[in-house]
Amino acid sequence: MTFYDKFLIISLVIISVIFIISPLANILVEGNNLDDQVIIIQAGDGSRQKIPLADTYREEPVIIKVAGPIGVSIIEAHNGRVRLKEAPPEDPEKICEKTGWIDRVGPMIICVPNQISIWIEAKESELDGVSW
Amino acid sequence: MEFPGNFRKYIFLLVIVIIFGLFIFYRLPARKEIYAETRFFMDTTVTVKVVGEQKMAERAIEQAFKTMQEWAGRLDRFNSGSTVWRINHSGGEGTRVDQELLILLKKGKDYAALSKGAFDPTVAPLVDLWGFGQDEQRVPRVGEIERVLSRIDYEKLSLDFVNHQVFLPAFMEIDLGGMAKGFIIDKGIETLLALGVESAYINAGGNIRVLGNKAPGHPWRIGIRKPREPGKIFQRYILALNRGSLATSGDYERYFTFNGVRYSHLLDPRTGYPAREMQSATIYAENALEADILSTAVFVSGWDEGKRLIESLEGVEGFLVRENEVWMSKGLEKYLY
Repeated sequence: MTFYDKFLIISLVIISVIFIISPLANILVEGNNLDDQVIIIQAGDGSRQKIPLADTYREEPVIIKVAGPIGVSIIEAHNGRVRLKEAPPEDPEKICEKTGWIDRVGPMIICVPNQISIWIEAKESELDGVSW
Repeated sequence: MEFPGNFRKYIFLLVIVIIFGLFIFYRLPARKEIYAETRFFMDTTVTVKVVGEQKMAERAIEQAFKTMQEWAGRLDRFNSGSTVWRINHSGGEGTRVDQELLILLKKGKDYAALSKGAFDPTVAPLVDLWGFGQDEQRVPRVGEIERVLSRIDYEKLSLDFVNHQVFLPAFMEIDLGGMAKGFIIDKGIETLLALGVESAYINAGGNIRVLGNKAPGHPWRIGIRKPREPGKIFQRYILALNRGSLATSGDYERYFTFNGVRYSHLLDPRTGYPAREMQSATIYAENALEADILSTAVFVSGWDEGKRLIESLEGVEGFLVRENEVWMSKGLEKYLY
């Protein structure tokens, strides 16, 4: 075996590692699609809470309370979906409560009076947005 | 086993080239990614996404928000001191405004005429009478509606392009709620274009405009909400866009129920009552202003008249929903994903 042959074999092994092992490692490190999805709860001042969607698969729902200009909104996340469970009594129309559950990237829950927005984000998703 | 002499050299060279290529690829200084930010203003959530190198994208997003938030302040009729507030409180005297606002109001008047009054920028007194945008909504009495209708007429809004003035009779008020979001999205896109952005997406409360592909060969994918199933979209009608704008007007956005009847905020300025024929109207147009105005105009115009309006306009497409029925204009098919 000459120097060229050895060089060739080692190079091919390295290239193979880069092309095959690297994407595999990415999947292992970053997890599957479900783990990529995150519930975002944003208040009017821009502050955010992030809850991995995978963390909502459990017996008890995750309850989050967010304060806004007219009171406290209660948000519920359970089994891969999220909703605004209870708007403050001062919210006249309670549209965000009526929106119900969202379980995918695209739709948003927007609470105008209390300036709270809720949506699901993912690294890879079928949709970039929803017209509504 | 041994490679023949020349072949071995070629393979050796090929490997060198591949290694060099990989080295260059991983050393590329700036990889393009999607950067996004969401803020709450105009009573809704506004998201700006820019594809590019991090520093450039973040700067562009910041500038776009700055432009959009400035315009949102100027067009808000409840913001005392805003340009629109000054027009509404001018007591019939001329209000000095800049050229851009004059052009915007001219567009509003043009579309009001085109839609035969289904869209009308002077609808504010009617919106207030029903209580939309306020703490309490109610169904007004017939007499109240008749009195308010006499204060709505886009033809009485006069624009003086020579002296840059707007004249509005003292008893009238303008509300740009049916066009401001679209206009402001266009302003955001203009800002991004001026900064050299080639690929972007702005979504203001479900009104969306895109610029370029998300990635080479990959357009932005936009869904349309199902009116009676919150959180769900029409799976068969996902659109793939690399230009243009989508806006939807739906009776689920702002409404109240009284005696089992749903009263939405999409009021017909000609009758004084909410339009009822449709559940939602989605419009595709080249720019967000046109899409925004037309989504309201088409919704209020009703099923047949709305379809006629869409088909009469070049570059405009539509997707209409009423109970158990959807209609899509022929030209929208080419945007289906």
